[in-house]
Amino acid sequence: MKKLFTFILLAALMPRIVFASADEKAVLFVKELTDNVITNVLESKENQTKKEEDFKKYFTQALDLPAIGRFVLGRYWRSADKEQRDDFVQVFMDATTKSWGDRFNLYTGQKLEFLGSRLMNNNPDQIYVDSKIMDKKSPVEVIWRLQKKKDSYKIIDIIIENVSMALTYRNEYNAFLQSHNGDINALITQIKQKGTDTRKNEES
Amino acid sequence: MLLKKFILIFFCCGFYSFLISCAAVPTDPAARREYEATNDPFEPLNRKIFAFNMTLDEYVLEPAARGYRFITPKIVRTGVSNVLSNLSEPLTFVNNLLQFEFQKSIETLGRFVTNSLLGIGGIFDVASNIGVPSHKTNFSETFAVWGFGEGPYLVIPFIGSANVRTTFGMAASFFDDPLYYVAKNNDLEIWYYVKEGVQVVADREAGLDIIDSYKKDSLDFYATVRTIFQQNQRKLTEGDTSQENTTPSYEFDFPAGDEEFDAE
Repeated sequence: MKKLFTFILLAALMPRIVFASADEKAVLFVKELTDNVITNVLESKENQTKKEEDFKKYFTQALDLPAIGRFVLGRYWRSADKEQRDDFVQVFMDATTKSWGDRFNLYTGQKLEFLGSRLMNNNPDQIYVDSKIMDKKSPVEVIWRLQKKKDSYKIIDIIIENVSMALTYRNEYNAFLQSHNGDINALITQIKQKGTDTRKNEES
Repeated sequence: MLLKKFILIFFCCGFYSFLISCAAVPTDPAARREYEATNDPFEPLNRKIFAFNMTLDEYVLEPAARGYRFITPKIVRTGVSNVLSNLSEPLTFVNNLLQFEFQKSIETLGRFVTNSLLGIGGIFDVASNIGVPSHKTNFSETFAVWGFGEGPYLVIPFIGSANVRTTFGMAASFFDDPLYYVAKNNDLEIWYYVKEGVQVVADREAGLDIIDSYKKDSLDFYATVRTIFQQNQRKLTEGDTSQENTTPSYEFDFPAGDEEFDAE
């Protein structure tokens, strides 16, 4: 009976153990980042500007924003020249950090639970880290998509409840470019404009 | 029954107008791939209906949701939302069965009984607290499980984002909600519609903050709403929505090549 019990217990734990072992370091990477953001930004007593600055530091370090920018621009990346590409990555970085910054106040002490990691298409350099935001009512599923770079990692996408950040931006910007004859400069101006508009609204 | 007929006629009219207005198909291969991935051949008309819905939202639904938030404390809203989700359990139960999720259907039934009795008509979600989580589902998801394709993206007046599958799903939910028949047989049909109305306002209230933030940031809100809807729909056909074996689907939507993450 005892043996059977042990067996059932092991069987129940098994998938999780195998599941988690795909790349434990990747999980630690995301855990360290989110712990830092929660303690030093979300729970910090600093003012919003300082919080946003700190957040930007973590965010830009952990995310491969140039790669995300490339994916987001899609086919328009190829036709962009170097200056446009650099400009775009810069404004994209500002816009994404700002929009996350605006959501800081939605944080009300939820804990993040890590479930493990998986490889994408058995490629050891492409890792998904699965996590859940433990909200009282219903947990929110968050998947972190990582790219292994030598001994370190970079986040290339964050998928919250089925919705990929990269893919959402890609669709939004592509729709804009489509209606503006693929004019990347217009896109850059518009993203910048949007940023200043929201800042003005907040100040007034 | 009159309202149902009205809604049905509305659906039909909607479909007809979709058929007569289509976007031009691009000839450039890259643009064409994008057009196919977006799966929105009726975009010009969809955008018009979207604009109409947004106006309606701005003047009717959003103010109603804000008013609701203003006059009720959080605890009341939680109670209302619990009652509403309890009332949707019979429909979930039917769909759990149709999806061959027998374990889930038993749990759903258990939730309904527990919450209705111990939770005082569903005001308290006792079942979740004792570890029986909700398995909320509907006909759209059942059709997805059965392998029906999505069909093109549609925007339906008053209702919003849809595709062919969810449109049929909605129609099925209208006609096959057990709660509706219970209400009808007891001359309480009107209360069924009241419940539906409260549900719409409560859902909008729950989405106020996140919708605001997307609306504020987006350069093209139509495209943002469309992609969020589609990403959620695509998830359905990938099977179980729990964490294991879920592979975010966008690699398949855009052919691999120099547009991928590993470019350069």
